[in-house]
Amino acid sequence: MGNCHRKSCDTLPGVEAAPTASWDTAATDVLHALQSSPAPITARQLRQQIKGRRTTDEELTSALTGLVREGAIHTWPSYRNAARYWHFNPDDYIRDRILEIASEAALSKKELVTRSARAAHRCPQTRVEKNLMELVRSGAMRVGKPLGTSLYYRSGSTKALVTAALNVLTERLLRLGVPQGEIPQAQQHAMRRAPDLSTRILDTLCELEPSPGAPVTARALRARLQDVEKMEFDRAVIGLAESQRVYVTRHDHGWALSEQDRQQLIHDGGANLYVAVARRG
Amino acid sequence: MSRSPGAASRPMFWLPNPFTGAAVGSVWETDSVDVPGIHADAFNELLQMVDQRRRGVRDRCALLYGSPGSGKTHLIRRLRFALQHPDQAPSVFSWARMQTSPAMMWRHLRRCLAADLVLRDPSGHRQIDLLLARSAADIESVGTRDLSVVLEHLAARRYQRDARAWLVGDRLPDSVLQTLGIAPNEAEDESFEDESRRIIRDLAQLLQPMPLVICLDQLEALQAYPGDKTGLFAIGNLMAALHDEMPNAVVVGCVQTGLIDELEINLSRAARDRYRTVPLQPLRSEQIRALVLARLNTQPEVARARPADGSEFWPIEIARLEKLAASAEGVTPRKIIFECDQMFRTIQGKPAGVKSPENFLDEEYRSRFAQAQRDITADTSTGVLSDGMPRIFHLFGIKVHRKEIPRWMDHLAETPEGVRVGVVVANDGSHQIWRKLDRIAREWNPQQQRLVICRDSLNPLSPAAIRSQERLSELERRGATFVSPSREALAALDAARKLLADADSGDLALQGDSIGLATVEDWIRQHFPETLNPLVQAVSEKTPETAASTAGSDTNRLLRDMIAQIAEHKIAAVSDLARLLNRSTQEIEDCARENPDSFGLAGGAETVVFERVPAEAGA
Repeated sequence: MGNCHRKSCDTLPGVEAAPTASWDTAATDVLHALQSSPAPITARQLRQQIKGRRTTDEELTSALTGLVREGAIHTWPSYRNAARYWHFNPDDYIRDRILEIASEAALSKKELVTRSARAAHRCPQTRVEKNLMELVRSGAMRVGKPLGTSLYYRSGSTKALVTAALNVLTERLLRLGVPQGEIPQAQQHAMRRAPDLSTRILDTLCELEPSPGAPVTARALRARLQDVEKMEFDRAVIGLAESQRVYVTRHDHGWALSEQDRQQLIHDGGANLYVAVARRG
Repeated sequence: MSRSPGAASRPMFWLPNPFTGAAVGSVWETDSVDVPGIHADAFNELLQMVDQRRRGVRDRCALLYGSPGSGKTHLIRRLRFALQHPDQAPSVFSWARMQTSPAMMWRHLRRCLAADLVLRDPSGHRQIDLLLARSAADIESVGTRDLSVVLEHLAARRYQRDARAWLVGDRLPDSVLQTLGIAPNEAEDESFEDESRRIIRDLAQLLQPMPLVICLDQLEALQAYPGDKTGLFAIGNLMAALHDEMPNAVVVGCVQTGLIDELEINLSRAARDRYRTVPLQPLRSEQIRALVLARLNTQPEVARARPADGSEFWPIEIARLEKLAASAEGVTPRKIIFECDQMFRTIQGKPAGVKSPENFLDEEYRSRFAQAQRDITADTSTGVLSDGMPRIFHLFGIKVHRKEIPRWMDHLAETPEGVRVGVVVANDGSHQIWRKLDRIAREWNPQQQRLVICRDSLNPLSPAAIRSQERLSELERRGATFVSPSREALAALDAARKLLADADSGDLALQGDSIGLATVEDWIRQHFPETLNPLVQAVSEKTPETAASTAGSDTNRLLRDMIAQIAEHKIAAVSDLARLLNRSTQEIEDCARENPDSFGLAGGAETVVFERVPAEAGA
């Protein structure tokens, strides 16, 4: 089992055997305490939590070191110069918090990092920012730039972006002196006048799909909507995908294609090129 | 093993993880967690096709489209289980992972079909018994005489091993063929391809009206590289031929959705009319829940450990998984299982370490290499060369053409400098190859293209095949390059081509996501096996000078002779070899030293040359 090397293997799976049985007990206590803790804790706080046990400081330190080495627990960034420990991986935890916050609201980088660092039990902002950028690179997070402001939001949470963008717009219109009451009316008017490209795309998909929900190539779909600008078309398809009306299929070597062939794919404005679209069932 | 103190208070640590293993290796695997609600429409459509065919209704082939990890192979396995259920009317099921070159696709399909026919299921049944139960008159009336003879042997339980070997397409010695009552095969490579196609057709015909279900997995692997049109045409041709020639065949192909555009642009309307698409959509919320529950239920200990207030999905956070389904591309079963595995491990306090693509590819390559060392035989090495060479040439910017080339040529390579090189895989039998060499000598024009003749060391050219040796030497004198990849080089080529094909099919998954083909290509370029250098160099090097070519011809002749001698004797004293081959002992030793992946050299009272065989490959 795991990396347990000792034959009488009455110890934690994955934890290398230590010389004494008391080490086993200490490691078990430490792991249990950390798993029950709602936040990362320092060695001193840990000592408090298991004070009923007869664990020496030396055994505690040895257990912590061994468990960290085996990956059963993790060292967390120091807070007020004290090292902290927890069973969650700090980077995984930070990313979960970023995604959680960004699915509710699209925020500027600074605001998102500050809020996430706080939610991630005061992890340093530099580390949070690094994780944020990794999420952006992996496509789990997106950056939208409506009205010149970069807003970070979770992929698929278009509503968060739209709400934030409308707030920014409203704020700017108010600054220009537009009466507050007129803004919602004008907004409704604009929505009515806008050509409903999304509906056209969905209708065309229905016509082209060989069976319900079967993928249709971007090329075939585009050929039926030639009056629409490519960028507008791409944006509309991505919008439909983000609002969960369609699925898109990524082209795995799209960037290796010629410029001409690439024009037949749907570009999400970032690193992704999509080759097919299918209606969601 | 007893539990540690404290284990009872934190049972999670000890629970078996129900989320390990997300990929289906083979449809013949028996243990499986299946959620019938996932891809139910597609499954019912396939079952209906089989039923229709049983009633004599012809229909198009089905092409399953899905993202990597969407469960194409899993669905095929579900179909296999359903068709082989005792309550189901009989049918024959075959599955082929199409990791082969278009030039050898029928041979590959024949090998897979024949292997599946003779495979015993856990209850000891073989599908071939359905065929052999036909009347003697039926078997005798089979169009291909040799097939009829072989089936008669199998029905009478005579020469079972040799008959099976013939059926899968192994090359058998003339004496064995004679015993079986089959004329020695003097056909060239392309005829083997035609013969294999005929045999599949005849087997299907003999089964009528019983359906023959042929599942072609990883069809995109017929492409040697992204955008390879020959591979795309091969997919169209294969589906069309199976559809047109075998009325009782139910053909199910599997491709990634990403290939949909290329297929639509490149295949003719007629080819596209031969199949219909069956999409495998990403998972919906209720399917995600069903999948998680099905996996959790495989380990009852997890339910027993569930806290009183825990949900039925405990310890999985179902809401987190459902968020994945909201993404633009949706979520596949593979991704869900991976995420669950991560959650389970995290809660257990033993999260899986993050493996870098570099380490992952290294492990994957090594396991494929070890497997290839064990599996490659003289009968399968031609397929490895024909499929593998174009794949590795592509990594070095060498283009490969397969259309409008002479029939004796496997493919035409074109270097980045525009030099055209005909590549011949000449693994034909020692007594037949001279015909092919004669044809090459007549038709090859050195002014138009260079020539590389490849015959691997598993198919040594017998020194007794004097006519062939002379023709080969003559071609070398005219400028042809001869290469003889060792077993180790073949294993490296097989590992590399399978890694590339798996990546191209999206079946190389790390952390729940497929590794891109470009990443794998880069990795292979950076870790290119040394043993494959001679193959690449033979194609990319400049035209050899005549003098050098003459010297090269002599060296190659010695290499060929030594390979043949050592293949036969396994070990021989240098002095004996020198006498036998009419060479100096120095020449023998030099040749052994220059080809360390083919030969070993050991000193002592007398220096000996021995066959270099990888430890795991056996003698």
